[in-house]
Amino acid sequence: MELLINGQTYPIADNGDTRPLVLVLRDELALTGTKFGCGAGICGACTVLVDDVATRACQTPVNSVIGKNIRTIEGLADGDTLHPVQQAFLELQVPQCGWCMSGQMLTAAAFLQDNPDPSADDIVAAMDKNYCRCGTYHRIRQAVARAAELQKENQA
Amino acid sequence: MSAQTPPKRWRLSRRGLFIGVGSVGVALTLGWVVGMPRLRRSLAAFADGTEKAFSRGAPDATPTTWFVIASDNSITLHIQKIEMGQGIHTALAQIAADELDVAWERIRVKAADTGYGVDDANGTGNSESVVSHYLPLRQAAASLRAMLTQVAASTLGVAPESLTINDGVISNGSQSLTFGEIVAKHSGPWQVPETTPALKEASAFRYIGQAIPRVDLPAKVVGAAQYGHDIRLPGMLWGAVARPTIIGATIARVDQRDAQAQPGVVSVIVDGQFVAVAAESKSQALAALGRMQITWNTPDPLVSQADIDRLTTVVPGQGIDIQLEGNPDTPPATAIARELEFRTPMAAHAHLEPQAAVVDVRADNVEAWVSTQVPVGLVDAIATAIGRERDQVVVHPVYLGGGFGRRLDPTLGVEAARLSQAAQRPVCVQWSRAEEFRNGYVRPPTHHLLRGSVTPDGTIQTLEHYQASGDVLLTIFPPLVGNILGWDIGAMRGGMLYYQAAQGKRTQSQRVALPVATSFWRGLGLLANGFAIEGFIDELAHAVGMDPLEFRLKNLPDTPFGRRMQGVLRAAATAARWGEPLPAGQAQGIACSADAGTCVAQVARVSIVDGAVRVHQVFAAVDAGLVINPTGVHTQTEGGIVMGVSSTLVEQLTIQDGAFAAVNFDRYPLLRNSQSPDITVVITGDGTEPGGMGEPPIGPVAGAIGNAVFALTGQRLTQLPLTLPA
Repeated sequence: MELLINGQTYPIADNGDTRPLVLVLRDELALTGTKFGCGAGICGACTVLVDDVATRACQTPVNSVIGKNIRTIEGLADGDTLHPVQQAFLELQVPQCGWCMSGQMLTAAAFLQDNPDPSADDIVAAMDKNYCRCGTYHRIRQAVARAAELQKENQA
Repeated sequence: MSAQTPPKRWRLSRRGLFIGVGSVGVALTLGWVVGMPRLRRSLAAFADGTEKAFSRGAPDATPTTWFVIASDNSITLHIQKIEMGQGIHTALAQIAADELDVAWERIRVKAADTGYGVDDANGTGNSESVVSHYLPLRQAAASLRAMLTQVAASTLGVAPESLTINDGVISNGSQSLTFGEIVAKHSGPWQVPETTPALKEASAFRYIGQAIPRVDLPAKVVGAAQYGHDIRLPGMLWGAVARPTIIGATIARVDQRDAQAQPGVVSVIVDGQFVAVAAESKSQALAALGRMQITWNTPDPLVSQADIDRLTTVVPGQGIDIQLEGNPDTPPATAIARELEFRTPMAAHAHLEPQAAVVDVRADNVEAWVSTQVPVGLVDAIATAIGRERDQVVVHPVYLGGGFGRRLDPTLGVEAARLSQAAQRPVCVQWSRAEEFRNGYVRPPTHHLLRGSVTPDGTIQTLEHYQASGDVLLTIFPPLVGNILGWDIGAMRGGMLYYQAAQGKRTQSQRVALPVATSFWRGLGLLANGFAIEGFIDELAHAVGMDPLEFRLKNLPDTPFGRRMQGVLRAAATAARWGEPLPAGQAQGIACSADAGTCVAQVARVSIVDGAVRVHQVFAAVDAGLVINPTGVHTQTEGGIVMGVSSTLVEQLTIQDGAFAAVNFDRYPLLRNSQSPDITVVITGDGTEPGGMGEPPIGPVAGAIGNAVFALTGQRLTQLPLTLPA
């Protein structure tokens, strides 16, 4: 029994462990790039990818993701090459405090995988469930659009 | 007293204090030591070798150090200002780079712990980090450059005047030395210049004014930045602290039962109002705390929302006149008189990173990692709480997941320190979202009465602002201070009347004692006061049928300040194409305010969608004087606007059954991406000194939106959050 996170395996002692994934990631595995915000599935700060689906880690019992492919912000880049979403968030200077940004970027990454050529409305709808208290929403929209361009350039 | 005087005077006095305690006195470690004028005497002792603390390789022993240049040619700038998203590390690196003559990329910014660098008792807030550091940091860098030049000259055997510096290389044309080589070659004492060398003219700036990318973002986009909530130490325990759910409740009795015997429990503290557990895991700590039987004394009757609203009510004459010019009580007979009341609710900071502290109390020293805006203040608080000397305590900086004024309170660090002292191991205390909503402090509610009169030509004759608010700034002082002063400068941020009034004007501030904890929130009173004053000015313009922009331009004073305000109003209006036709169903509103030496005007474009106000776009013009980093001005303006829109449209903290109604975002939603406007920011002005940027942009937001709603619907909404009648 193990968790598969960013391509690495982590043993898990108890397959009845229903603690939230965010707690295990942060407090046991020291993968603190995944952030805790509200613990109620509202703010989106803890968003991770589970089999490429953006998932609230505070609402995900750890035993429900055994054997699934979990990706956190620590595993979004390909080695030293940033993911197009990370490149775009840097280019647009999006993060302020940065606490919500792991969740924002993973949400965007999953979205662009499903919808590589999004409209402006698509982007707003996709990013609408992630809070940013610093108020970077306007830049997030621009950066997700830019990441879609970068993704296309990379594939060209 | 002129309109902008009180906040500015307060700012300047804090700045003066700040400079007095050490930011001008700057030591420079080059592996060896050098210093700056105000600390020259003490530093001279170091510089001539009589103090071993400044020896090579021990920079962490130096109490007042900003720069370290090592023989590997690296340059480190130690910053005590906390990075909470405002880009301060980047801005200060730019300032230093120009005066030091090195490329900004070569300056590594290190967040300094409290044992190092400037002893910044002010903490990070008040939009003052760039403002307060601009001059002393340049002076420090210029002195360092002069000292390096002096040593290079003697090393090369040439006159200092023959040397030039380019990106950290000192040269006389034929020979050159890097800063690192100079440091490596020099073994004697460093001479501090008797007087600060001449600083560069603005025309020579290469980095100040450039859109330098943020130095903290590469770590933030890969999840590597360390925040208070992320700190983990070997052997660390987890703390849980009993907190009331009912406002004003206090602990009457505690039956510890078998808490100490619960799995994983290391320490239990029951000391008056502090009841806490430290255990091997967070869940064990919470479980053990839950087993204790705590009897609470609750207020009778319970605190109610009605109490808050009733107490927060202006009674003219009960406050203190903090601005009185001419005779505002008798408008001329020809004038049209108006009167409006405005209300703003309590609001939460809702920083997305809940507070966290890790403190390790050891036999000889105390190390703390705390999400705080006031590390130096926390040193004192921890030392006092656990009976240690101040110099035994070091607070390490962490990134903050939002500050907004919430992290000025040392409580959390003290809690972790007390638990660590008891358990003799490092202890981590993290607040839950529910604790953040229930047990913090809130933006105080406000009530405003605006009275004024205007003649048909559009000249304001009389103008009065009566404001009632819970305390802000006074909450950090002993009660005596508030009793002597009588009014809260923080609550009145942006509350003074900056428009002219031909007959006279008055601002009256009324302190309200509330049964809930109120204090700092981004901009302090700025958002509420801007909402009220700018809404009322709009009403006066409407009363005489004048364009709201023209009315403001006409009634602002012809002073340097008034002209700056007119400048941002014109710039925002131009950006928004003020007066041109808009899409059907949309309207625009305009407002302005000034704070921390910065003038801001905004035009909001709104419509009504499904019975609610929708803000489509905000055009902002900002005159922040000398701009260090235009991207920083843009992002701080955008952030202030979005936080302001959130307050204007959706946020309201209320009390129900004696407790805050919200314990999470389901009952206290924040503005979402789809509700957030597109934003255009224009930078204007020709100032030679930087103004603050962290708070000023929040000032006009609610006013601009409220005025746009009035333009669209003819309804003057006077309460936040703005709600259209059904």
